Amino acid sequence: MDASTRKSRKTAGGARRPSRLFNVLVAGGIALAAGCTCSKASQKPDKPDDGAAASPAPGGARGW
Amino acid sequence: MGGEAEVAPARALAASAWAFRWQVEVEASGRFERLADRLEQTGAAAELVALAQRSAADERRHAGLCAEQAALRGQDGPWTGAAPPPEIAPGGLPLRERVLYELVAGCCIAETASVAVLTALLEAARGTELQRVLRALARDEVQHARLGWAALTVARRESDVAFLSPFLPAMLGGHVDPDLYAPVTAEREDPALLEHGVLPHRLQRTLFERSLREVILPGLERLGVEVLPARRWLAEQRAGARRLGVAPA
Repeated sequence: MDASTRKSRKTAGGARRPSRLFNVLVAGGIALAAGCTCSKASQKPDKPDDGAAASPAPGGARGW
Repeated sequence: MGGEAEVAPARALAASAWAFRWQVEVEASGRFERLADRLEQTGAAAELVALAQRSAADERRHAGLCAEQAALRGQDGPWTGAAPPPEIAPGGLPLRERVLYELVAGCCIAETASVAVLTALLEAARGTELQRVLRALARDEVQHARLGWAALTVARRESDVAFLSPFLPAMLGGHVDPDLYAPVTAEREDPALLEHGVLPHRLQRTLFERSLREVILPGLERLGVEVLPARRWLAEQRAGARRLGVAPA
C-alpha cells in the first residue's frame, strides 16, 4: 500500500484518529459506564488497608 | 516451513506457553471473583459487579481451553490447584482505590493488551481449532477490558483518579514479561510459533507498544490519568533494550 492509498490516521483538523481497538475497548467501556446505575455510597468507612504491602507485580502478564 | 527438527522447538515452547496461560487464567478467575466481591462491598454499580462475576467464570473456561492447547502439544498437567491471586495494589490505599488500581492494571492494561495480541494471533492462525479457541478468548477479553474502562469512567465521575498516575510504571512493569526488552534465544523468535498461537518475542514487544500507544495511554489520558510516568517508563525500557543490543520494536 502506498501513501496515496493508505487510510489517513489523522482527522481533517490534524488530530490523530482513535484506533479501531480504542473504539472497541475504551469507547465501549465508556458507553458501558453510561448505562450503569448510580453507585451506592459505601456504608462502611473506606479506610486505608494496613495489611501487607503490594506485590511489585500487578499480576497482569497474560503469557501471550 | 522447515523440517521436523525446526518445528519441534516451537511446539515445545508453545506447549509451555499455553501451560503458563492456564496458570494465568486460573489466577485471573480468582482475581475477578475477589474484585466482584469488593466492587459490591464498595457500592459499585450492579452492572460492574455482574460483569466481574461473568469475567471470573470466563477465565475458568479459558483455563480449560489453555490446558487443552498445552496438552495437544505434549504438555502434561496436572491442571488443578492454584493459590489465591496476590494482592497487587499498595496496601496503604483505601479499599475503593485499591479496587480501581487492580481494575486499571488488570483490565485497562493487561486485558486490553491481550485483545491486541489475540487479534494478531487470530490473523496468523491457520488451524480451525486454534482459531476457534483464540476467537473465544478474544470475545471474552473484550468484555474484561471494557470492565476496566467502564470502572475508570464511573470512578472519574465520582472522585479524583489522578492518584493512579504515579503507579503506572509499576503496573506496566508487572504486566510485561521480565525479558520483553532483553535478548532471547533464536527459538523465541521463530515465526512457526504463530502457528501454535504464540507470538515471537519481537512481535510481542511491537504489539505491546502499539497497544500502549494507540489504546491504553490515550484511554487513560481521556479518563483523567496523567500518563507521563508511563511514557518515561517505556522510554527507559527502550533505552535499556538498546544498550543490550535488542532491536527496537
